[in-house]
Amino acid sequence: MRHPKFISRTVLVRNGNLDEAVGIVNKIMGKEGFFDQFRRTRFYEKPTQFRRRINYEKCKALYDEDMNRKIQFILRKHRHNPFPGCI
Amino acid sequence: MSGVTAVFNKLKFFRSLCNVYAKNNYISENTSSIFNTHNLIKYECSFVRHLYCAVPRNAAGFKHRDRKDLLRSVAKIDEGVGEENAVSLDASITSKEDMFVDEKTPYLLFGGIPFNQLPICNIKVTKNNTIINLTDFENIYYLTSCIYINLDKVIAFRSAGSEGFKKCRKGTNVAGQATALAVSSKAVKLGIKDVRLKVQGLGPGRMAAIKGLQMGGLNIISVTDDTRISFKPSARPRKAKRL
Repeated sequence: MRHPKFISRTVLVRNGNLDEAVGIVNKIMGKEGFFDQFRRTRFYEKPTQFRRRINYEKCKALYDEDMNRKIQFILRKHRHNPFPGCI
Repeated sequence: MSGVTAVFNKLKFFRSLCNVYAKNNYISENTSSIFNTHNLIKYECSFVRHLYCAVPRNAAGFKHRDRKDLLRSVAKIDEGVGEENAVSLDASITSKEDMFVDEKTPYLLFGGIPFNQLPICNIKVTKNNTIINLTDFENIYYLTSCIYINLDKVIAFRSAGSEGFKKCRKGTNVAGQATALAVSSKAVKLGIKDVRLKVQGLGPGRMAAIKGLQMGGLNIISVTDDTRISFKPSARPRKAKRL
């Protein structure tokens, strides 16, 4: 059996805190893109839409990477002057 | 040009009135007076709009904007996955290692029953309905290495439709909760306390049904997401809806 039940995608409820467990399941599924894929496959995605989406995702990933690098650069620590550019 | 200046003058007048009445806390909601601060602001806005609308425009160019406005005003669909976009995932998981299943979990005892023999509550949530059934643990008989048959006995079966919700009311969170309460009350009558939860699909009844089972007195041991998702090209889905 490739995907044994109650082993994959399973979270145990701790101390009767059901919301926490459900939240973890939802977060993981959302972050891994399962829900996005589920929503996307409810209706047929035309090839043009597919190309547009993929191109958009590529551009967004590039932009995010650059922007994150810039933010990390600005937020870096261990500098001689903690506020460069400020008098 | 003179028209525009006139509008500006009126605007100034209204704005000064606004300031005066806002300072004096003069807010008369019962009497629909023009000196109501809210009304004044509204009139001011309408003047500004008048100012901008004076320039002739091509209506076709703003069609997509109207559509976006329309879509923005439509309430977001509740799919029961509120925590999906929550942040700080990794930090929250590292402190919750004991919530995940390992090789010993199937044999852990819950109320004297091993985890892999606890009754299962299957919830199928769709956009238009919520179906819940409660079965005893899965008796899986292997015929060959890859074919197996699943012989689990259904203990309780309820759906939002069978609970008396008809048409579009079936696909609401209230219907989902009522269904869950009905199932859990039957289970409690039969003496079932601990169950494993298996949720399939997205829809308004998702979170409501899970909460309803807990409210009905069932002790939920684990939550499993069993939504059917394929990343491979499968059968072509239906034609997309066009608004």
